[in-house]
Amino acid sequence: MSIKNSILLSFCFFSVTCGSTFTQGERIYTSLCANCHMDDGSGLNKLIPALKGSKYLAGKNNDIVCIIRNGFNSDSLGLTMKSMPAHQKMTNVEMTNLVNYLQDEFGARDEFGARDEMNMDEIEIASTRCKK
Amino acid sequence: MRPVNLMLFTMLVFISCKSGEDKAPLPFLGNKALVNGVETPHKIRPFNYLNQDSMVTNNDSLADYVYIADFFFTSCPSICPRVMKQMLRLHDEFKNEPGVKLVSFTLDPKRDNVAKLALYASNLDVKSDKWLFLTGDKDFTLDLADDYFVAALEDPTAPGGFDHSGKIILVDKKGHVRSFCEGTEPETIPPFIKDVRTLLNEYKK
Repeated sequence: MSIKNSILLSFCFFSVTCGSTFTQGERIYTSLCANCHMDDGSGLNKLIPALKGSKYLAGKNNDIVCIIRNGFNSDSLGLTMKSMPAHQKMTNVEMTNLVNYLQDEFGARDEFGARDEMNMDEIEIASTRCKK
Repeated sequence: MRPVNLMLFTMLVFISCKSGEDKAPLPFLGNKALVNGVETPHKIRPFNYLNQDSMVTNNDSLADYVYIADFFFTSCPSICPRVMKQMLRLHDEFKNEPGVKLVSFTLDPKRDNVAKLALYASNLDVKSDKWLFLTGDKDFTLDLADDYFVAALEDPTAPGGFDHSGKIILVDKKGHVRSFCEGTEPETIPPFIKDVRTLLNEYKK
């Protein structure tokens, strides 16, 4: 193996192990979600639901796309009074990156430690379905 | 002086400084005012509010307690949840300390009526004998925030309609501000907890 190749290989290795693969998703989370759901996804008692262990993040779930896209108004249920704002302008690429970041950070893993990922097509289908 | 003696002396000085630091009383924050020719520390003005149980709450009803105050509104989309998280942390810390109360003033009484505050408190899972959520006159509250050194103003361009800082303030039994921390910076909370304990010790003597 040439030196050039080994440098390239080690660079690839480090970029996989050190850097987060969910850079954009993390950035979107920090700017749009973390203020309420908190940096660690713990929420605020019954006022703001925790993302950790959320049923919306257990496996592939189209509802999560709709909630982010359309927001959520819990006033009608009378259980909590926080409402989540809608994010209609989010592109499908951003949505894919955000949902996969949420899955990776707060989602449930199967018995092999793997998590579910949604690809662009799945996100697009989910997005069209929940269009208001 | 022999080197050993000098070393012992220096150590003694250090030890005495350290213990003196722990016992230092909390300062009275704010500008002093002249009342009848006597200098008095800055004091929170008298107020009258309703809490989440529709009970009148004023400075007299808080006179037996040290209290931790902040300003918020329930529909606040920006810093409030983060500040509330830290208030909740303080609540849990002093839950079993009968001399401490928490007081949250709403800046948005139009939307935050008694019923809404009651729902908010119950969702936060806190009780009204520990944590008071107060609603009253809006303009008075905006002025009152000044007394707590909290910047609060109505601003239609701000998220939710009010611009305010996330300070959490410690007030003693006489209405003097003794310490504060930033609700948006979790690392400022532990020293603040220490300050609350220092203040409580002042009353135990």
